[in-house]
Amino acid sequence: MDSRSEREFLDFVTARSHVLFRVAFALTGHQQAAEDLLQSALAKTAARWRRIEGAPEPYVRKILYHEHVSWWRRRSSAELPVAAIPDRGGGRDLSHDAVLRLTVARALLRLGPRQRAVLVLRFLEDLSEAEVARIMGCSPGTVGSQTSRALARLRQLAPELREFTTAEEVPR
Amino acid sequence: MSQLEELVREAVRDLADRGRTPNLGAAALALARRRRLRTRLAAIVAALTGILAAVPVGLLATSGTPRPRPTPSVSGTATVQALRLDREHPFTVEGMQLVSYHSPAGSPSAFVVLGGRYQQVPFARVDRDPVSGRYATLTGFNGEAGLVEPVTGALRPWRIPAGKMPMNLTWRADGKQILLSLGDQTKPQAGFAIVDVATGQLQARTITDPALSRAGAWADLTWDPAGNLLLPVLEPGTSNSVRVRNMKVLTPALQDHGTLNIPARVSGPRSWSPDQRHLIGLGTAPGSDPNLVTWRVYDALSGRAVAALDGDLGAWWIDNDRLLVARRDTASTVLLKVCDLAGRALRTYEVDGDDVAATSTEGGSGISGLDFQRAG
Repeated sequence: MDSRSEREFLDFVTARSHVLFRVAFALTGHQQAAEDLLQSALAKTAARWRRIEGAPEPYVRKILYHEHVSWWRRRSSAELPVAAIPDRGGGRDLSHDAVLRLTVARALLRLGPRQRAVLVLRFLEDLSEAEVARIMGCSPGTVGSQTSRALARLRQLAPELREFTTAEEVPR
Repeated sequence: MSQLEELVREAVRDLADRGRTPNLGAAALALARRRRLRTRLAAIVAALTGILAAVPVGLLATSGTPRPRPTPSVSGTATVQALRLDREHPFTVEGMQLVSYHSPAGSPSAFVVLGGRYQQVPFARVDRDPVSGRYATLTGFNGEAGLVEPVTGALRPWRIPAGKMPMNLTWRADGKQILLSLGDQTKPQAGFAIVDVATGQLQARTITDPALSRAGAWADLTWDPAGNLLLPVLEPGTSNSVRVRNMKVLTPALQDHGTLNIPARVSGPRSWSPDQRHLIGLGTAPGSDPNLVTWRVYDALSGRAVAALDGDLGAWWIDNDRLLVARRDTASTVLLKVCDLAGRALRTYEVDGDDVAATSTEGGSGISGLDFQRAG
């Protein structure tokens, strides 16, 4: 990589790190793992910087998701620590919604990598099923079913969520 | 959006906001450089350590222009037979067994025959002794070398002198000793060690005489079939250690034992045909493009190149008159040709399999570093 490309790359990382790191953190739930994941994805991006056609950010995101799934596969036998999420304490000064969000975050980190990736893509990045499908390399129908299964699994992991309706339960 | 989806949306955003954004630009660039360097080093180590089959011939050529593929004097006419490589069964063709290979699916590890199937071992370079069937290894980048435990695949390391890095490994023809060429991690100093396989004892020697140190490519030091050392001597003025003028023959005590007039690198005793009248080398030929380094068959006595082999993955002797030559055909297949001494294809096999076509996330693809030995 020549010095001009390096400058461009560093400028891109400086400008977009906060957005990309949020994705990495949502996927891993752990500061160090998120840094490793993003650094690895950025290194791959740097290696191909001059060959990337169009905006680099979608390219980095795609690598992030695929790396995350493959890392998880490699490390699936090992426990990966997750960010310290406070226990739900009855006496704490938290609103009911905030407690629920923490419960969901906790359950989210117990999902499999693909289901977690689908939820992050859909609800953090607000991507359509078709856009998620393009990144994950599957059909939009698969994204729909993965999302539905992921939400169902969340309700299994956190029974408190059973009072909340899913899309299928919303009256039409 | 349902209530649950709304809640998940908020929770995912909460979670995403918990991290502290680092500035990873410089670290990512450094990691990219390390990965690039590692890839290049792997190619260089593979080239220098004699598993030249792991490196496409084009990578070894000295100019930047694409090299034409050598054309055998008569093209093969036999029907192509399809074969499949899988990890559960040692792959054998024409009485030759594939004893090790590399696949991006397990990169940088190798697959070796242990317990009647291919097992993955975490070593960048493995070498099997045809006498005992044991594997020895260089681990690649952390300077370790040793024998591979036959059951577990673990490393039984030798004690390498401090500051030295093993660069090449060759079994002596009788399987009793192993030659390690040693580089120095801090200064350009040549050296080698001879390992007694039975005891694991290692006798190291540093080349302190600058004239002797500069005499040739010490990293490619190897055995000849008689147990002498062979040192490739480079063409004057070449800086990339690719073009070999001939080979200096030395005793293990470094006494001059003559010259082998062959302009090629060899991979130890197995490079010679069983009757030792010919040998396979990676090199040039008089009258041909001096930058066209390819696998050739040489007459051992005259040093004359008698055939150029159409194989970028390597070549092995089946018997005195036939060779097995491997070439990558497409991203998902490898061609194995049975050739005569003139390089003519007598039979051709097309091999596929998951490891043959495997694609690495690092960008490399396909099987490499094949090594065949006579089965049984």
